[in-house]
Amino acid sequence: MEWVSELLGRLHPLVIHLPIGFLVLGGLLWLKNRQSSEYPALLPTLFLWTGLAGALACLSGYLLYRSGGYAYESVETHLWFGLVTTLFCLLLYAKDKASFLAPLKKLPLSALLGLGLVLIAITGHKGGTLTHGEGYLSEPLPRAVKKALGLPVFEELPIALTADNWKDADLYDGVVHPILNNKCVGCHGPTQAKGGLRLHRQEDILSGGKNGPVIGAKTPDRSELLVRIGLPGENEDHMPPLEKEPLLREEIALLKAWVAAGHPFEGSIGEHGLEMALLEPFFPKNAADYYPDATLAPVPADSLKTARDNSLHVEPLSRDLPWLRVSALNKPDFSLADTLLMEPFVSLVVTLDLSNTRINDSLYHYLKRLPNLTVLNLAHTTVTERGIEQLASLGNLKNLNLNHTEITPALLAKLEAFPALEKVYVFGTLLPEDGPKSLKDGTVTIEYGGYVLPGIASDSISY
Amino acid sequence: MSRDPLDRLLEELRLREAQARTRRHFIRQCTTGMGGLALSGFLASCQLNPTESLTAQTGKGPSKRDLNPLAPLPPPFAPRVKSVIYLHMAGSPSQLEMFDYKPELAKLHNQACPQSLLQGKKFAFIRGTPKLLGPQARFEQVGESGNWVSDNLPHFKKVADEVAFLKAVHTDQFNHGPAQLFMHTGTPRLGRPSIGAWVTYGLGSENQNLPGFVVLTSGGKNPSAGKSVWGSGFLPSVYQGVQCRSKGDPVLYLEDPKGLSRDLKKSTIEAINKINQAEYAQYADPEILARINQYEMAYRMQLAVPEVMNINDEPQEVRDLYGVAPGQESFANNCLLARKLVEQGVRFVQLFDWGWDSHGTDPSTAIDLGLRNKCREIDRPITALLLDLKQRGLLEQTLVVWGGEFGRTPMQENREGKEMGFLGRDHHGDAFTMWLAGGGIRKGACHGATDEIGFAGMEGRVSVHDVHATMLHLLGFDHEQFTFDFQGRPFRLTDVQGEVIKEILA
Repeated sequence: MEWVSELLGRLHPLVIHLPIGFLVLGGLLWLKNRQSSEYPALLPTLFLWTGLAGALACLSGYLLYRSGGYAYESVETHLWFGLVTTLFCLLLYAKDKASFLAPLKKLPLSALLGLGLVLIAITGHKGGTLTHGEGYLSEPLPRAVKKALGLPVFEELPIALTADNWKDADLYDGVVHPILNNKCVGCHGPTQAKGGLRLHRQEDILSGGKNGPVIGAKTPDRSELLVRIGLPGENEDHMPPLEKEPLLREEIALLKAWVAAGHPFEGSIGEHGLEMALLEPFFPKNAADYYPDATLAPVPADSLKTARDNSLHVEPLSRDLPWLRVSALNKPDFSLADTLLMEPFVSLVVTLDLSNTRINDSLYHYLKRLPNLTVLNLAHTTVTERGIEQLASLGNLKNLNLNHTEITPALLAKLEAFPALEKVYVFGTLLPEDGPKSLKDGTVTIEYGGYVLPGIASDSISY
Repeated sequence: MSRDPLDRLLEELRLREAQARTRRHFIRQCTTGMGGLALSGFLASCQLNPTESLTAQTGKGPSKRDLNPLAPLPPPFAPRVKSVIYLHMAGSPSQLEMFDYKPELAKLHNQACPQSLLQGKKFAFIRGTPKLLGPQARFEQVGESGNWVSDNLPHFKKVADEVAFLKAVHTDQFNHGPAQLFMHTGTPRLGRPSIGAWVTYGLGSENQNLPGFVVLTSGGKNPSAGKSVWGSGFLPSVYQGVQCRSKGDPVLYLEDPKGLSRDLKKSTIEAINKINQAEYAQYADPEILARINQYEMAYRMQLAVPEVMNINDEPQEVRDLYGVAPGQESFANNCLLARKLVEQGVRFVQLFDWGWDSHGTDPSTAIDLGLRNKCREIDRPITALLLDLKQRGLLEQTLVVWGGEFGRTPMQENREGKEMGFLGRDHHGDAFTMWLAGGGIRKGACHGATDEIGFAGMEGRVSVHDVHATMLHLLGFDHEQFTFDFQGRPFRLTDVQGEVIKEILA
């Protein structure tokens, strides 16, 4: 007969809706008749039904608790609130029948009804929490509302690695924990523990889930955590579920490396010998980083019109940045006077290509007025190094192309003062190719070009 | 039976009338009915995202973009590169003799291929149980990166540190035509724009006197998939690739006929364009604008193209570097031209080199004969191209992509189940090698690996869509946002797939 009690227990989620429905119906009837101040005759009957249905719910709930393997602590509040609600409804029914309950009659019905609804709401909510998990109801609330209500808010943790600090960063705290936090802890963490698994703390990770540990010592291939992540997306055991944000390849590779290293919770990335290639994908990477931080507002398109009408190529670098690329590709007769065309937007020019034009050294004096200039191409012009030292005031000039110009070896000494310079092209100039390959302790690379591919014996073989 | 001549005359009149009644007349006369239908579709296609500067601002009249379809446009995000040189080895080179070193395959040489590998696989020519074919080249780890390069590419070894290898690219096509279409348009079927057309549509072109998308072919044959691999699909036709010949006149009929002065030509074009403008005012067909633009561009190209396509003016040391063969159609010439075009602000240069289909049916397609000659043909030019771009400061703003449409089998081809006279490999899409170089690419990177015999990708498998997504990413696009509305839905190059291959990005 065990199965009867188990079956009844499983009907609990169905039965509980009866008392809720009856009590709400009572409340609605009372509201409807409030104006006429008539006491609805149906109310005592409804209270009786609520009480009886509530008793049935309590019984089935108890049976479910007995057979369903719930810990007493987890159901405690739900159980007692259920009993109290049931008793309270029976009292409401009995107050008109039994004289010893007469004092209850003096209380306004609205208050009693309200109390009953509050009781059943609390009971219901506690029951819902049991089946759906803590925080199920509040999860879809906006962050601001959650914060105002004092509810725990899911915080995405950033991975702050750079090419300079990655070796010293903490492996677990700096990378592994943020990955698990951002991709897994939503369902396997403090608010929910699906499959009995929580991944937000060391001891929880180690204790694993319902089916045992999820990490094997140095064996990523046999660690449930990584096996499930590695399954094909359509497999129902695949984690995270398809509708959730998937783990990126580099995140999976890093978790693997962490498990392979014996899943340490202490120590830096360098100490555990992880390779830079594994971490590199987490470094901040943005083509825009090459250019100065964009704090200026973009110029209106019509201020570019004069320049464009004069065949000067002026285009924004991209639609999300104010910076401009300027090129005289279609204007081979560009000369010093034409620099006036750039006047409306001097502070926004980051890339300037004046190769193959008629400029000369007097241009340098003008160029220092382009504060954000990053890439400058003067190839195939008659410029020399005379006056180029003025460009040292350009704090972001990184790339300077002087190919096929009339520069002399005196250039190199002048470049020492350039603060941000990374690359200089001097191919096809008087500079000897055996000159220094770099300047300023290797921060500036000099490209001499002039490559040749000497013939080799096999060149002439025909099979 | 003789008929009344008047009857016959009337019948002819009716026939003539019917013939003269064109679709345009029909649509014009149906202004309310058909016009309304057309308008609903037209307005639907004019639902414009205000940030989207590619399309017209209103449904009325042509946008600036329509009038100057190749005007340069900024990409949505800061780009790493502004041009692309795509080197396609049509026919598909054998990765197993060039980059994918498989010593285990050498040990298994001449053994029968396990059935488990063949089950459920389709091959173009292999039938029954083929034998495994060991690598027919010596390999060596080169440069600081230690990536493997075979002796077939002795010069390339010097620049191997500049490129990032993708060792486990896969495609689902195993015949040239569909696979080439897939590689260049993102789908194995006809009708979609090629990647060069997408890029030119999205970014325009800087040089006002040259086409934005230039195609150069060598090897004596055009790609199997035909000109659709550089077509514009549903994009306006002005974005299709312009094929230039590397031998003789680069563009046919570019020279003016004898006795026709340039002034006369100019006034002719102006007159034609005036008529076309009037036609556009009446029908508002954007293709008319494309035609107007093509006339004007052709006029400008008459001067600019012969200049940029002339490799004879290049210094001797540059010509020696590439090993050019003036007056002939050669891959070396095309590589030099590619550099010149990119230098002149051309957005997308597409090279096709035919002759890589190493089936082993004759010496020219034998893995140990013809393939080596083909490797020879590209080894110096490609090396020279990378070095030349580098010394000119162009490599950091250009993306160079190398690959075929698929790879080749680790098994020896046994056409019709018979042993063949020469060593050959069949088409194979499960795993092949591509490489990328240039701006934003991690130098010396090697992503992905195949199994012991090079049959399938084991890790780091990437699809053709992933390669496309990566190319668009480097040009400043989010491949998922870069769409074109056609037939009622937005289309993108990567369809519903593709992931940027971050592992090879710097």
